[in-house]
Amino acid sequence: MTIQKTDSAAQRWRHAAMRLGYVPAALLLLGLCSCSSSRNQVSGDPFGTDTETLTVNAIEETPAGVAAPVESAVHVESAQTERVNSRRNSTAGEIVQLSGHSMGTEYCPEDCLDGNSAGGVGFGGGHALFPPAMPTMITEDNTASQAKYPDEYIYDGGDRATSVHYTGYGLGGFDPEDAIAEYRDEIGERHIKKSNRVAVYSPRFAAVSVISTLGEGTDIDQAVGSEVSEYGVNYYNRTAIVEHQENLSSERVRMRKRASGLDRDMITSLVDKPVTLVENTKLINAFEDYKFIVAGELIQDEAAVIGKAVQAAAVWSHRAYPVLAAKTTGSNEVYSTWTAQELAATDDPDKSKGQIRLVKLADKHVAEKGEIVTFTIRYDNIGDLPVNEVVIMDNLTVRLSYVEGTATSDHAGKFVTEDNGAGSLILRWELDEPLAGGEGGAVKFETRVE
Amino acid sequence: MWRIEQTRQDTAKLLVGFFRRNLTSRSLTILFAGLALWATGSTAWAQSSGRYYPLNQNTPPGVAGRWAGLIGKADGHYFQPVRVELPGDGQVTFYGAGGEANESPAPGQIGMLVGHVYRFRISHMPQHPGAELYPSIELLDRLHPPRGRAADFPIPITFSDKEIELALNGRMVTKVIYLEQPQLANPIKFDAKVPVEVLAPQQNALAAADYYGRPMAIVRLGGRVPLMQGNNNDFFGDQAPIAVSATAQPPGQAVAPSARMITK
Repeated sequence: MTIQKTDSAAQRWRHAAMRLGYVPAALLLLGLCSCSSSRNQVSGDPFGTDTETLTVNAIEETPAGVAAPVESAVHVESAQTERVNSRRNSTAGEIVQLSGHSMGTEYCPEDCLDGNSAGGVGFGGGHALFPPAMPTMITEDNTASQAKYPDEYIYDGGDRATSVHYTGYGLGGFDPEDAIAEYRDEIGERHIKKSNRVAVYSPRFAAVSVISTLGEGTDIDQAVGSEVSEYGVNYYNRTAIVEHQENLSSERVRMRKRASGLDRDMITSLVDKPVTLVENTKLINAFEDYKFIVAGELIQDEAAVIGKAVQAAAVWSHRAYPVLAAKTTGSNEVYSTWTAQELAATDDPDKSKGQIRLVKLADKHVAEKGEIVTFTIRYDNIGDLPVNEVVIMDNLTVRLSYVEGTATSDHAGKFVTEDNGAGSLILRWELDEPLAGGEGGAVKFETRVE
Repeated sequence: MWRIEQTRQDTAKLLVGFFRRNLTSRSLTILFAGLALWATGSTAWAQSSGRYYPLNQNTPPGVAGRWAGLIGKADGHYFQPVRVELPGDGQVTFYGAGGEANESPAPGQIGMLVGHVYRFRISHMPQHPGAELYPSIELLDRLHPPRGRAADFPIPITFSDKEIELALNGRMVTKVIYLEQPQLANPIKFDAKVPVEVLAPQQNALAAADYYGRPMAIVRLGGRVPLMQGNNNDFFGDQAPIAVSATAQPPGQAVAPSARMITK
């Protein structure tokens, strides 16, 4: 997401006119310029207090499910176009926003802003990228507001903080708020795709308090400024009352630190077992197995052998080194690896690799505490070849509680939840069947705003 | 405490005298005197985060608000909705400019300007018959909700029975309301609309609120009541205007017909 701060022509004229002090002329210019540029000016502030121009390059960093001007809906390329583009360049998997102009004061009515009038989100056959009446509107106002004041929003989706990646033991960097799809392509390689980030305006407040005793009747200024010692004793006694409040201890202390990520718990693949040497038994070698060596007794039968060995040892005491100490014969081993990729390439070079695109949507852009927000995760295989072992995962933020029994999927599979270690859940959909090229589906679930 | 202050002052005087005798440059004297006073008197560095917090809950009312205005948080045209909730039934009376009152049954909601101190009254509480308390609100920041939804997201000011009891018994309850940072949101599920964490008196509540999120308001609940006779102008805060409708007005636009501003 790129934010460019540029003054509009109207702003520049307005400032110049005000500096010169020609108020009537400034008003006239203001009227003229604002009329001519009102349909192109993008307001960066919800209330029009600044003039930031917002350029959104990818929906990954923009919220879905937020309100939008009627004529400024996000343009998403069709499935066919997307697939063509995915071959043309390597940016497949991202939704490109072609335009997002704010149209001055023309805004969607209240009932269409929250997406409740969409008439339900039903996903049919799977080839349609976005079903009709999908609440995917985005306003520049809210996007700019999120950029400036992100603490007023709940986020879900995307890939916050450390990017999701494979470690030796599973997934790493799968933080709360992240939503990803994991799959294998036609050659068996594993891939991860993240969804876009959904923002719901829902500020939550808390408070810290301090309970103290009022020092009524104590003139602190006089105490500090006074150098008369007899008053000091008097004031010191009053100060002691204030110090009495030190005995009040806090009711409780909560730890706010929590895990930023979650790694799968898996047993290490390599376990080294240290072996301790219990005893050391000296084995007598064949050339040592003589009475002289073992017991120190020289018997007649061994005399010739011992004499030869002594003579051989004497050789090493002279400058008679062996010419050839050892001969090493190495072999050049050749490993030949045949991967499925090469086999697949010969199958049909015109077909693009299968890859998942993940789009997350929310049915509300504003929610108060206790309200239910329905999320829909739309996944599509935007390639031609199928993908296998598709898993959709959503790591919910602590501000969102999954409503039990509300998870649905239009594809057969298994749904499991697991604790994310941060006070919320990881939702996981494992599809039974591979996803053919161009095929898609959706999963849906409800959360309660905490 | 007073003796410690006296010792610090003595030390500072000695240092100033030393430099005044030995250095001819007046500017250097002033510089070293400042450093000496700072080194002997500064106690605000003792924050675990290592950041310097010059303000705390004991700073006189209005200072934090003025500082918020100086750094650009105050907007003279935007009335931030504030909602006062009592543990049960009761009356909430807001005082605007000139002491004009706006009374409503609890919970009461009103629009306030950032950077100002407002006084209001809570009364007619069945759990505390005959009790009248006059808390104050010092507004430090505002929200930025979607257009037209400002009134749905007020800054909540809640009081519990225990806090009211403490105030009636002569205690002072100072609360700093803050906007939670989502990534640091408390994972514990609370029934209360605004969970309150009680700190030790020597802790800096403003620093703690800043650590957890964005401080929005300082609420002071004590037993002070207005004088029956005499001038109560100071008691009722800055006497800044309030917006009865509590709806946000974009800068430069006229107040909505439904809004009634209480001004001087």
